Amino acid sequence: MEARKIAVSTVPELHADAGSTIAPRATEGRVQQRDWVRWAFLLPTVLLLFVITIYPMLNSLWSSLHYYNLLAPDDIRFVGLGNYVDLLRNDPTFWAVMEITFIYTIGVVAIQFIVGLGMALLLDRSMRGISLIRTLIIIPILISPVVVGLTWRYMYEPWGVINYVLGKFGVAPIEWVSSPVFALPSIMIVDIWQWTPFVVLVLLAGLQSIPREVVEAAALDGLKSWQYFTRILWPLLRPVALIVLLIRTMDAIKVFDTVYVLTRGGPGTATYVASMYNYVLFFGNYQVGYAAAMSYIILIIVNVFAIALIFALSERRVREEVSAEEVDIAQVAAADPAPAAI
Amino acid sequence: MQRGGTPSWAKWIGNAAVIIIVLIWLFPVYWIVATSLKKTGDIVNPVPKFLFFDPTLDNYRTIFGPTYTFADVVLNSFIVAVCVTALVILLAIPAAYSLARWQTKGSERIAMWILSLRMLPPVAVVIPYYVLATRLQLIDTYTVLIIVHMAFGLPFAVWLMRGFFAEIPRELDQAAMLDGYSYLAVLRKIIIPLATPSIAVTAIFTFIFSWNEFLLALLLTDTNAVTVPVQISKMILAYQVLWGELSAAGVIALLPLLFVVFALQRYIVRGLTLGAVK
Repeated sequence: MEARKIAVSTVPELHADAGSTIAPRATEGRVQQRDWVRWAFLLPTVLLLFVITIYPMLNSLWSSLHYYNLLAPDDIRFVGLGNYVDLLRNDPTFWAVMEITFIYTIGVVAIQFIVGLGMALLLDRSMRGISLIRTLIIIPILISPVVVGLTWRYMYEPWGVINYVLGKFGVAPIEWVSSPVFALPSIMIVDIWQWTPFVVLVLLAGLQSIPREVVEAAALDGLKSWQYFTRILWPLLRPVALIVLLIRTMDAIKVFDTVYVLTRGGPGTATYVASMYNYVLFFGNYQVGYAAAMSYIILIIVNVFAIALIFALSERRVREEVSAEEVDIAQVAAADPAPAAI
Repeated sequence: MQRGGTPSWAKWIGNAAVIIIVLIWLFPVYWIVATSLKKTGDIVNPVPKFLFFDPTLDNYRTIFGPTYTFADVVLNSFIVAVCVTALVILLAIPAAYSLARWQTKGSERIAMWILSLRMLPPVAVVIPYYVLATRLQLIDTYTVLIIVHMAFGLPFAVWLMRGFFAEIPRELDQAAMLDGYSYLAVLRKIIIPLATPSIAVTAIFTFIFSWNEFLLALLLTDTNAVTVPVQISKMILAYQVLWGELSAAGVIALLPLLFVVFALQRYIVRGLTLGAVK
């Protein structure tokens, strides 16, 4: 007993001693080490990323301001914004490509969102094997878009399995990827198949983070399903929904792989999306400057959504921090008996 | 979450709907695996054989045979993906730790800049890569593929691991430092052991990204460093009737992913949304 008392009493003294003499110098040293180490840890990554992303982007920007064709490598001329003006003013293909990309993006993202929301609500249930099902639907997301394209191209064959099944319902065979009418819907279906599970997973995570008390309170209030959705679920899901919509929009604008494998932009220009056109400008026509300008236009459009996403992400982080603080305050309040006494 | 008061017949219809939708959704995956195991006669049969067919490994033998030399291509993909993953993780761990522990305005800006690189459309940088790689005679080498894949893998890994590291209580670092640990020792002896599962998840994501990546690999390779997706795209264009062989190649490409999907399940949403949804 005596020994313990002594031990207890000496410890604060030791600490007080350390606090008064040793600690300031130690923290000072640590602060110096801190700053030095902090940058040493970060520098290799920042430097490497700078070299392998900023340099190519600046190089591309430079190309986009020049007339530069690989077939005439000696004839490189500064043309200012000439390439951009040509694209926007004098290139009917550019606008056709933009229209197709726009239709593709809007169609794909809207359908993915609606179907994904429906599936998320359906999968948000307790049932045997539900976690296996939630795992299985991840598979399409992880498959290389090239393999996805290959699989669907085989199924889209005029004699393929899709037409066979449709035939059972009395639908005449459809020329999926080779008809101007169905080619664009064909590649959209592929995107919808691959990425709807992603929307499902994200919305499902959002649904499951809704506190049980909220759900129970809503059930007690006797809300009808529709009211329950519009008043309870949707307001809580909206931030997550915004993030998933932005991510999907950016990816849809950039689409290339499945188009390359399924249609190569054809037939004619039916599926000529922006990245495909950019690819052809460079690797078909060797127009380095013109292609660089095109890639910058795509970059700017994607960046609008990227910036929106970054804002959405950082706002979410801030909100998480705030809500964490609120929880802390609540816990402190709950632990403190005084307010209850009053 | 199940709302109270749902009648049991409605529950059963819901359960049945879930199973039917998932089966239909996964049909294409089943179909390519089944096709890869079919004989040519069954593949081109206008009446598809859904379940009962004579399985064969002929298609796999063909693609790994002397004509297609698919083994070389798989090896290329594997080497590139492993190197990318190793380098990315090596660089990303200290960077992510730095960004997770010292959250000043400056490092927050760097973090956002790194995140914005993740969203870069590949078409925006592929032209200068191509021009530069040609000039340096790096076209069609592992080196160029590894470098460009790192440009996209590294921002992702840093961002994701920063989130994971930030969840490790700072008190652990501080306690270790009172014991005289340096920052490097804290990272090696405390952070890395504690974060091993999340580092593994990040590594798997990076590997899959590199394994699946198509546009950059298509443009920067020719014959020596061709990766699996590029080879498949070439096979589609050159021999588009050989669906058996193509399906076998496709199955090889998706095999590693089927292995990891169960390991990843818990983290996949987080990875794909860059940590926004946990």
